[in-house]
Formats: sequence, structure tokens, C-alpha cells
Amino acid sequence: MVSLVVALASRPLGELLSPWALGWQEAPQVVVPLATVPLEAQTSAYVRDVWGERPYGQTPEVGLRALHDGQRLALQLSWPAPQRRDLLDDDDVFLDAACVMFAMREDTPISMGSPQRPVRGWLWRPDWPQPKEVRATGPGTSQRSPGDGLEARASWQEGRWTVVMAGPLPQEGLLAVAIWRGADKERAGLKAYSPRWLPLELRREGGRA
Amino acid sequence: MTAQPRQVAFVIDLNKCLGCQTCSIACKTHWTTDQGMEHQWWVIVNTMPGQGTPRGWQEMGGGFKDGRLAPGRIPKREEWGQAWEFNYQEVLEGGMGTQVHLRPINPDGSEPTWGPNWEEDVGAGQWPNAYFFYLPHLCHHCSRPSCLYACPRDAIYKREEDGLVLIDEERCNGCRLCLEACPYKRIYFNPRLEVAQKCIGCFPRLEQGVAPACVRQCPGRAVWVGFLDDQEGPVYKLVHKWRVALPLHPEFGTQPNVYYVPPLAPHPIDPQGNFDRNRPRIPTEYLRYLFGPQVEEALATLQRERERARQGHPSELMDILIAYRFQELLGPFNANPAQLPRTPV
Repeated sequence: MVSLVVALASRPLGELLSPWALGWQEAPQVVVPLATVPLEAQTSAYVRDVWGERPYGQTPEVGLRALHDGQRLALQLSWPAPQRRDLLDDDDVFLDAACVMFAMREDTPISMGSPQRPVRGWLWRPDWPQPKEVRATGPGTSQRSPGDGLEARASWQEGRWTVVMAGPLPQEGLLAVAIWRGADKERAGLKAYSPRWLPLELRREGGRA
Repeated sequence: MTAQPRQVAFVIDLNKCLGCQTCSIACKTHWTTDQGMEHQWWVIVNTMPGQGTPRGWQEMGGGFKDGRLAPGRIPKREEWGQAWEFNYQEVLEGGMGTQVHLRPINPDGSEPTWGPNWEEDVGAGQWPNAYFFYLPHLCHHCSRPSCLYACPRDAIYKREEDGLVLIDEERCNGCRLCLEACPYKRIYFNPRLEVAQKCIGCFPRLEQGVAPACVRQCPGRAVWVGFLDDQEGPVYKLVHKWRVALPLHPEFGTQPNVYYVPPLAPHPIDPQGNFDRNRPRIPTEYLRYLFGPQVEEALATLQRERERARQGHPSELMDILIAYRFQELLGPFNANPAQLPRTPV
């Protein structure tokens, strides 16, 4: 089973906030294939009736790297976004976004958890000064709150976002990713997601994994 | 005991609306003065025929078609019309008052090319047979609200006690699917809070027995409010008994609860300068486009009853429409807001 190795960073995690920091070479990259959230899983009847005709959830994959320093986790996400959307300058404009979701148990529904299996995560958007904390107990239930202790830096170059998010090392051992492509007016359940939980494999010793 | 769901409805007489925008301003000063709401007009009066607010809303889709939700699109900010500033400084304080006219300016400094009441009194037709009428437009608090079906988060709900359709801003995440799905384009996006906002039917007033601001403030006595099932009330009588109050674009399929008494205009003038009593001034086809096939029957009823009243016969319909007493417009919501106990803020 594929897992995401969380290597022990050999330099201060603060230096890794830059998406291009050399330290990221210490962390092996996992390329996670993404899927479109299917129409029948959409909680909006309007989306189910109308959005079958419109392309969404087209981001094919996301590259992930992870490092930690015993206290904090830094995640580097990299995905293709041919047309950048980072400025909310009209009512019909939607922004690129990414969310990493954490869960404790394998039986947590990947579709935003459930009342018995809540999930939480970090939501990044290019126009926010820091990611927001998200909690959910099922589709359509996510609640955002200020991302205390969360940081992010992002770079868009040649049709790709590379984003680093950092925050307190999570207790949870499983991770999932969702990507919203603003140019396709993706928002809410209109997104691409990793259809399986990815185990986090925490390395306590340094050196290249 | 579970109470039966009830529906509050509005009736607007387009023969009495004088386009004064008092309803628009009453609503604006009540509800949409915060930052991020500058461009919002939960009720707006548009001159018809015209493109309305937002520009071209009637062709933006949404609602239902063939039993399914129909594709719609989100209006752009320019189509709504932006919240203008004016060059007061320049004209009033800058010593330029004799050289520069007061003019509107978009928030980005550009010159406006559109606004929420851009086509005021433009209308259609040629002199001497030009015509127009005013269409006050607010959320229709639909019985089958496509916005509610669009919300992926159950942030939109319809109240049992009065049928008002409300948005819970705490739950709303600003995804704007409701803006897509509403065929009347009566939902606004607040870019500051990133939530959808719209007419709330003045529910805090209704809950205290006070009519919505747009109804109570109308100087033309052109707007009624009441429960649609109150058979003794004017709303029921205009909609169901006399069948002269019609939904706007019933083909949108959302079962709206704002009803309009269609406009009768004077007959057109023929080349000899006489009234041509065989033709309507406002093309019936256009009114059918707005109010559906029932409009001809409604217009015929209005004409017949108007004639009866002219000849001195009693007409319940004309008495209702005239609204001799202001209180008749308010239905059960006839409390005087000035006499309510107020808690200091």
C-alpha cells in the first residue's frame, strides 16, 4: 500500500515554507491520482441535475512531500493548474484551492467523514494570508475556522501550483487531498479528490528516506 | 400539534406603482448598509420593457425545466451595476462647481456603463404610442425554491410559519450555486463576507406583526402582504378569487409568491389622433412573456370591473385595488412599528 513518508527535516521547518527550499529534496514525492467527486455524491440537487454537462474535477494528480521536526508538519503539494485563479474580482470567479484532510481510522468515509468519524484539515486559498482549519462530519458539513498555527506559501509557475502548508504535527495517521480548479468554477463538492486515505509514515530518524 | 405550513405572499399592482423607489430605499436603509452590501438592492424597481437588474436576468437560466433543475449562470458585477461614488469633493468643495457636473464613478474609478436603474423610463414603442411600466422586484420566496435545492450545505431553508426562504449566513460558504439556480437573479454575493444574501421578507418585522418595509413604505398603496390561504384577505382575493394577480415568469417553475396585477395602459392613438380601441398599447405578447397565458383573462377582468365601477356599480375588485384604507394592504401585519416597545441598542 502506498504511504506518504514524513521525513525528519534536517533543517528548521521554517526554512521549508518556500516551495522551492532545498530541504524538500530530502522528502520523497508521492504522486497521488485524483478522481472527480461523482455527480451522485453531490449534495446539491442542482449540481446533480446540471453539472453533468459541465467539466469539473479535472485535476489528474497531486504530488505530495512531507517533512516534520517532531512538533510541526510541513506538506508540499504540487498540481497542474493551467489557468491560475487567485483574485476574487467578480461574482462568477472562483479561486484555486487545496485541502488536506486528516483522519484517525481507515473506515472514516473519504467524503468528509461522518458524525461518528469526524475529519479535520487545512484549507488553502491563494488570497488568504494563512490556511483555514476545516472540520466536517459528512458531505456538506464542513466548518471553517481561523487556522491558528497554520502557515502557507505558494508559487504558481508554468501552469502548476506548488504550495507548502505547515501546522502542528497531527495525531491522525491518514491523509486525503482535494483540489479545486477555479478556472472550471469548481467549489464545494465540485472538485478533484484522492479517493483513498493515504497513510502517513512518520520517520523519527534523519537522513534521506 | 404540528401547525400547517403557511405562506406569506405579496401582491404588487403595476397599475399603481409609480416607480418612486421608496420600497428600494426603505429596504436599503433597513438591511443593506454594511460593507460588502453596497451594490445590493434586495428590492429594486425596474422600468419595463427593459433589461432589468441584473442586466438581462430573464435570460440567465435557472429554475426548473422538464421537471429538472435548469442550468443558470451567475451575473457578473458589471451586470448588477456597481455601487457608485460621486465627485462631491470636486464639485462642492473643490471650487469646480461651475465647471464640473456631479457624476457617478465606479469603485475602480471608471465611468459607469450600467447601474441598477439604468433604463429608468426608457420603455418601448414610438411616440405617441410609447409605453412603459414599473416592476418592483424582490425575492419571490418560492414554494419550490431552486436556490434551496442548489445549496450543498442546507444553508437555505423555508420557514413553516410563513414560507419565507432564508439563507443561514453561518452555514453559507459562498459557493454561489444558489445564484446560479435562482431564475429571478434576486440573490446577491457579498464579496467581503463571501456569503449569499437576499431579501429576508423583513422577518424580524413580521414576527412583531409589522409589515415588510417595502409594503408599509409604499406611497402608492401598490403592495399588499398577507397569508395566501386567508380567504378573507386581499392577497387571496386578488390571486385566487379574482385571478388578476399573477406570478412573474411562471414557466420558471419555482412557484413564486410575489404576484403582479398586470398593467393596463391607455389604448394607442391612431394616425388620425383618436384612441384605437381595438389594440392594446402594451403588446399582449409581451405581457404574456412576463406573466404567462393567464394574463389575457386577468386583463379582461380588470377592464370589465373598471368599466363596472365607472358606471357606478359596486366592484369588490376595484375596491380592493383602490385600497381606501392603508391598513388593508398590511394583512395581519398591521402593527405600527413606532408603537412597539423598543429595547435600547
